[in-house]
Amino acid sequence: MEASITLKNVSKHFKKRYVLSNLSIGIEKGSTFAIIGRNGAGKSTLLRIISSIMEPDNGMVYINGQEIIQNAAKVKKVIGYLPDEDMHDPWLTGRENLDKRAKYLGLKSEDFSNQVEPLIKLFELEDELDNYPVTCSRGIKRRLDIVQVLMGNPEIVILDEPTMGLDYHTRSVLFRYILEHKGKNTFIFSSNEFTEIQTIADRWIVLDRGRIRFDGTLENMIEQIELPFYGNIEFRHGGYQLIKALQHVKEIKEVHDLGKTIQIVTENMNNFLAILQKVNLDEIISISGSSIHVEEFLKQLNSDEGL
Amino acid sequence: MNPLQTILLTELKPFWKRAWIELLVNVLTTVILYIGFVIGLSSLIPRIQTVALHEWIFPGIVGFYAIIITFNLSLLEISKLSDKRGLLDQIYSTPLVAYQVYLVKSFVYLLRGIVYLIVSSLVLLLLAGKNIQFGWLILFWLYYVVGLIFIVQAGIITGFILTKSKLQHGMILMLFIAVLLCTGIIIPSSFYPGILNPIVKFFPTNVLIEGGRELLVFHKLSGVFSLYIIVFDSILTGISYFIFRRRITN
Repeated sequence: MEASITLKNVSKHFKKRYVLSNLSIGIEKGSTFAIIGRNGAGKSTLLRIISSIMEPDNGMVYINGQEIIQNAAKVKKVIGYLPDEDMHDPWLTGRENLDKRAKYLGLKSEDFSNQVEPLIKLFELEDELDNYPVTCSRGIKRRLDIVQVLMGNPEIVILDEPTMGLDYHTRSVLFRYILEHKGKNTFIFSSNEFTEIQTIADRWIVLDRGRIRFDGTLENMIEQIELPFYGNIEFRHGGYQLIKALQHVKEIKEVHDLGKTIQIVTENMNNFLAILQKVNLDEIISISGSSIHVEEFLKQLNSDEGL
Repeated sequence: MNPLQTILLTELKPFWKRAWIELLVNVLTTVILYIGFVIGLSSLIPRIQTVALHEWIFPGIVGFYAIIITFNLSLLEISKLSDKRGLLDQIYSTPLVAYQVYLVKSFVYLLRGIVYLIVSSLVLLLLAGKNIQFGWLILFWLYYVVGLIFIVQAGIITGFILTKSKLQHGMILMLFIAVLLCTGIIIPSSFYPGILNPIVKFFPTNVLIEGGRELLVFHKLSGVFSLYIIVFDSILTGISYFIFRRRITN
């Protein structure tokens, strides 16, 4: 597949500390690419560099074969970038902010009706546009910024923690949008949650202190490392009795009492399912679980490498 | 309308929306300065160097106000942009490149300074009932427009360098006192003895205020002062763009 974005030996440092260290990646055209890592791993810096907003100290970045610093104006035409903070003017209403952005992008009024109005509808912002952002909730502000980024249908969409502050419904609207446009547009986004990424990303990298610790797919990840399963059981009246009963079960690695919810860490999902057999289902409100946690994954990688 | 014009109008919109407040403040402050400096002082100091006090002080008040306001606005606006990175990202993540964003921002700050300059001049003309030759007034304004370029740049540089608001306010206060007391609004630089004389005379804001007075009161354009302003404009614009570019691309 043709590469949409290529990074060659990219490094960036702030105050003598390397935030990105010699990164080289290729991101395929039309793919959905995710960057995962803990706070301070270098995700936002990497996204800012790919967006041509920040310049790397060393290395080269190419977008559709063009070097980004020399061709910044040209390259930025195909990019929509959502930072991890508010991207609107508090002195302007929601609609005025959208108009402002449309003018910067050179959208004509007919393009605004054809391209932006459907996005306003999709992200349910119709009733909020005449308000000043300062009076809106975190989630509405984020929706406004997402619409700003998606307007003009940029070929490459870069989203830095896009779901921050979004409710469940809007998250699924955004994910559906990404899935529908996958193939035509390239999506790159960052997150520190595996669960939201594994449904939409074709490929991801795990960043840790500016270095790529993993590059691949979910299948590659599971093949590479055995990850424990984190199961959460929410009880109507707390699960103290269960905690007592589970104290001597061999398959359980850890039990965390989180009030009405009990988190059970087992070696794999089957062990967790076996434990569920022992629980009175009438007492349970909800069950959830995941086998992928950034922290655990990095811990495993470090222990394998003897770090 | 070309894209740059569209962007300029878009950038001016937030200011345009609260223009009436700015206009009101502009008029009221000019009136207060007139009451304090002209009405209050004229019985104590009726003339300075053969020139009637109200004539002497007219370019001083206009210059003082335009300098302080332009510096403050550009400093505070840049510091807001620097603090809330997303505000800059809204513009810079479009096909605009660094120098275009810089030019648009600088021009908007300059334009606001020019509005303050013109409004306070007109208010003072009305209050003093003074007959000023229109041609010299236009030249006076043009001289200030060129001068306000370095004031805008100084505001941008300070806004980027002094990131703490306490330091910013300290700098604004210091400039306020320095311009008010030591740059020829009332006391001409020629009155300062010894080493203080060239220091005050060639202090950048004094060059603006005394140069403006030479135009409006004595109908003379100072070549030295004009050259000084152009050189200062170029140097500060270079430094300011260098810092601006570094900040937005880092």
